[in-house]
Amino acid sequence: MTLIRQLTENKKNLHSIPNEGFLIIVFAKAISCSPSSDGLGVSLSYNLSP
Amino acid sequence: MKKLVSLVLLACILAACSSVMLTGRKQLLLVPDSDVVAMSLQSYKQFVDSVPPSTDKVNTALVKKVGAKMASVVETYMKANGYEADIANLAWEFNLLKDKQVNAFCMPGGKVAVFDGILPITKDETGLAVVMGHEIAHAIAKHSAERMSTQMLSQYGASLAGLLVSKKSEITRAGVNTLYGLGSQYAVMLPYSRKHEYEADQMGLIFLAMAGYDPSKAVAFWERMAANGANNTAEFMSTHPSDANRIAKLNALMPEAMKYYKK
Repeated sequence: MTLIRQLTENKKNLHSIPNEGFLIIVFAKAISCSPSSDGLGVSLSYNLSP
Repeated sequence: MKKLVSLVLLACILAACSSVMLTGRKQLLLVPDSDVVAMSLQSYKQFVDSVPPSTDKVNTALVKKVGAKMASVVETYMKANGYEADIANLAWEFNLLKDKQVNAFCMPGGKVAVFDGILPITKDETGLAVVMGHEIAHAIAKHSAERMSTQMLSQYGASLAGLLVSKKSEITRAGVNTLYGLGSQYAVMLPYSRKHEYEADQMGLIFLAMAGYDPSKAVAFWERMAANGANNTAEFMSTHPSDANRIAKLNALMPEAMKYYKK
């Protein structure tokens, strides 16, 4: 499961569970999980010139 | 509740903090470097396989020679200064590709590609070493992992912002979404990218000197790049600093770099 999908699903869950404490769990999960092979759509390369 | 969220956030961020070799800048790495390197290996191979290698055998050999020389001095420095563990994530590769772009790039793990379109600008071995030093610096400073970490936080921030206005009107939600996107791009991601470029210039200059190349030649290289006119975007809208600012910073860093220059 990609990180983006995880975040999207978590967001949906947040709408259905009106519990602020859940935010902490979601946040901890979001920042602790490693990116999957497709990452976040962030380029891995650094060019010399734009 | 807000205090608790802030404390959790602070604890997580502090746990993921490290500092960049030579510059000492604190950086946030929420993504393990080893994971980013694993992704990079596949991406680099795919790219290199999709672009023909340069037919210029002399310069192909020169790219590999300069790259290996600089990687060697950098690893020696890392071993002597407490960064030995990071060497395990480096699998250097230096390729010259047949493409008229005046450019080069680096991927995590030390995967460097130089396009042969830049050779008229590099001119000689030292000019090429300026390029290699800059690209090697991006790998050593783990800039890709840091950019990915910043992007993760930014995307999570977008989710939170969306949540906070979820019960507002559609126009408000769209406005918040647009403002957040613009704000994160122009106030966070682009300045971050330019900071990485300046840092790669700084570290690259020192690597250049460590490898025995005259660091003052870096200024001449960037003057040739400026004359080539490839970087005309206004700096605040660009991932890269303007050539003029780059040259000014390099000149300011020159006394420090000269300390590493062994004639």
